Amino acid sequence: MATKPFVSDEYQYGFNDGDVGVLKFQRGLTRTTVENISRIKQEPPWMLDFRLHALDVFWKKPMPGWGANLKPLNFDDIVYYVKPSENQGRTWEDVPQAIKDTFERLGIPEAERKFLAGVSAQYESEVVYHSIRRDLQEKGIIFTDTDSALREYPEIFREYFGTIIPPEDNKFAALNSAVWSGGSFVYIPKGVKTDIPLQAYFRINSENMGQFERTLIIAEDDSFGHYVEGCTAPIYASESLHSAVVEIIVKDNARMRYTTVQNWAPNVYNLVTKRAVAYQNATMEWVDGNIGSKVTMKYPAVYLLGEGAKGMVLSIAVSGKGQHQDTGAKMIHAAPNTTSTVLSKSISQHGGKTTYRGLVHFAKNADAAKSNVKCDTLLLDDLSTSDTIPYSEVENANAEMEHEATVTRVSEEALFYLTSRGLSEEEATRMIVMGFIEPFTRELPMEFAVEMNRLIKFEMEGAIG
Amino acid sequence: MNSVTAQKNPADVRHLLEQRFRDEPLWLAARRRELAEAYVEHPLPPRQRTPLKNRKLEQIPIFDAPASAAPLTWRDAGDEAHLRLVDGVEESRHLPATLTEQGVLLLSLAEAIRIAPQLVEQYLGSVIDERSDKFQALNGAFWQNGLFLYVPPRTEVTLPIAVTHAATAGLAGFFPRTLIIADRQSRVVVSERYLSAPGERSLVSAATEIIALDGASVQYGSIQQLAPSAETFSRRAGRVGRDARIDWNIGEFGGGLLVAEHQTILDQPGGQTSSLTVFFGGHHQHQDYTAESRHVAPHTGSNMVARGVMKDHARSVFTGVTDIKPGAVGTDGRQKEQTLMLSPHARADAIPSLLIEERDVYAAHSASAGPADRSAIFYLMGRGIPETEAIRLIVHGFLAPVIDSIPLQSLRDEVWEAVERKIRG
Repeated sequence: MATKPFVSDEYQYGFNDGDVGVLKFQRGLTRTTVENISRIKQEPPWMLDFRLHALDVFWKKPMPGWGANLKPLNFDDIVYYVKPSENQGRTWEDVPQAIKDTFERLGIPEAERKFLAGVSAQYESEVVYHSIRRDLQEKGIIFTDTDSALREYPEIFREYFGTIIPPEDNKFAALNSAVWSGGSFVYIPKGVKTDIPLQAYFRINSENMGQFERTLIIAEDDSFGHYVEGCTAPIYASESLHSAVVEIIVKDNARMRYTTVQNWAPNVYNLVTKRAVAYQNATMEWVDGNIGSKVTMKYPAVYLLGEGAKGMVLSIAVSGKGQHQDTGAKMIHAAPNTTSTVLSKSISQHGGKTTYRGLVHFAKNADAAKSNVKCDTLLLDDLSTSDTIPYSEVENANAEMEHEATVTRVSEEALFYLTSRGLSEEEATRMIVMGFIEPFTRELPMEFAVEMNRLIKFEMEGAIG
Repeated sequence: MNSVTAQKNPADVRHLLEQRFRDEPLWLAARRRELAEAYVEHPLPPRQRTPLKNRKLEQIPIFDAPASAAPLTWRDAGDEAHLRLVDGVEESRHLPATLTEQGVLLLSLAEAIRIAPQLVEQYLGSVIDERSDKFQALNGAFWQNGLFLYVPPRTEVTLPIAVTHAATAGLAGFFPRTLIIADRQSRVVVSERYLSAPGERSLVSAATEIIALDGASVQYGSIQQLAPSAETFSRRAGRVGRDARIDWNIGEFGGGLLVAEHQTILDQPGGQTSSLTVFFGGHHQHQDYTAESRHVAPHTGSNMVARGVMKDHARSVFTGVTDIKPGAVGTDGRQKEQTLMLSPHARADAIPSLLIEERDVYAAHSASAGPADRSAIFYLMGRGIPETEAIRLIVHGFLAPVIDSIPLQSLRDEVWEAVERKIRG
């Protein structure tokens, strides 16, 4: 059967608007690089100390001996900081035209005007445009870039920063801790609920530029929030590195959802540490779509620390030519009556590789905890491969774990049925693929679902036409 | 001589080999020497969830001669076709004359070297890669004796063959070995039991190789009830010929430490395999299992099922691997693992992985772990059944679908007895 690729290897958003960076560092990482970043940002001494300590940890830690192939990654060949314009744009008019054009093509202003609470648009390493709608401010919600948060909300910032993912956690968390720049800071006060998503748009632009954003979200008791980020980046020939750290604290009875649709260019190493802690009866939901990049290693985690806490990971991974999506989920049940759900959908085509690597851990005190993990993989051609490696650790006799996984091809029977109803094989394949990922797309915010569907449709049409 | 000097000095090891295995053919002596060197050179195998360093395995004096010890007793009186080995010495063997006349060979491996040297030379070590693993190299170098079974082409052996590998308390190093060759279009049913008497710590390394040639069918069963003092490494591997099949029925109950692996290589079209593993951990047992199906040829199938019960402070790791190589079109690979947790101090890890490099396949796994159903226990207690009995019934219900599908009546009964002992102990 000649299946057509579901997402073409041509990168749609691979336009590039020239190097607009105002201040760009030399390649490579030294103590001075870190000191300069901290000085330019006029950070307090404790942050410089934190960065330098993290740099030592980064140098000491070996490269991970598992997962995707990271050998081509050369830390000396990466620019660790770029500041695109002197001041942060307060209004849309202040944003440089070249950057505006980029956003225009991605449809950002429309979304911003009509639906979004605040567009925290990260362009290269610094947030260049940031606005918060008045009603969010009135509710006391803080939604800003992480650098501003360090200056403007030093007490809250210092209380939580680096507490969920310390630099010692892993090599790439240490790297991010040393050179982080940008990212989002969200603080939702007690009892406050937002019905409109908080949205940030990320892009990498300069060649070989590392992007090390750092996101910190605190949801106080009884609050609710939905943070959304999406990523597209232009094509470049040499390797690029994206290594983010996302820390989320969800306090008693609060609920937080974090949605990512990630479509990095096929030369990007995307090595991300995402972790949330959920306290009593709190709910943390990760909705995670990984479509682009050369290599992605990302395992969103929820530490269920309070009784009755809930965790969810809903993810899709699409891997094409030369790509390896090594993704998964971690659910650490460390309190009674905690529950977790993982649904992972993977698609491999054109020699791409997807790996589901996950962990469900029931600690001794996780009485009556429950976890359900389901992983499905669709292989679209003979060159593509897939691994499913779920770990489960049960230390409690009253916890229940269920895991299911399948790896299949597009069913001949379904194709035959659809083509006999007058659909072409391409249309039929697309329909089956769309149906396969539908459990994911239906959970996306409306504008994201539209973008996702458009992306898939354009790229499948492009490939078929 | 003890293992400490033996491990440190290859010359000592060679000397020991020459003393122990004096009258063997040259190829075998060379093989033992090579593997003894591999054993000495290899570090402890890195097992993420089974740290071996702190078990001080090197302190077990495995090369001592067995001291006289109290005889073992077990129940295999009814086995018509059987081979019984105690401390590597053949104690009893019987095969009905009709089978002998058809050319079936049921021998101790030591005897097979004399009677069927070509077959032993051709197939010994052909399925297990002994050089890559310290404890398999140990078995390859020092196996004392074992089972050799050959079934000629188009021969059907319907009578189950029962094999016992037993070690008395005096044997600190126990290295049983099995080689089963089912020639084209033949059928055979064989079950092995591994026993040892409680005593000082012992190191056990067992190896079983099964070769099912084109169209052959091997139903293999094994029940392991070694003493808690046994530190056990066990590897079983089978190669499945064209349209042949190997069915594994494995019951793992004994041993203080158990690292057990079984692997089926499906490198000819149409090969099939199934495996049923039942394990039951109690006290401070540490059990680390790996079950692997490697699909290389088209239209091969595997179905691996495991059910485990964990009580007391037992710890288990179950790793399932369905490995589908490019070109293995039409493969169907499935795994199912379930663990019943009976104690708050037990721990069970499961890693059911699928490694897929071919599109035209179906692969699936499912795993679950959980407690005994409280409402079922209450229901039974409400009917006047005491709690311990209720739990026993639930364990029976949990294991019955797996144990009752073991095709060998005698093995099935033995597994149920082992389960009963575990529930009580």
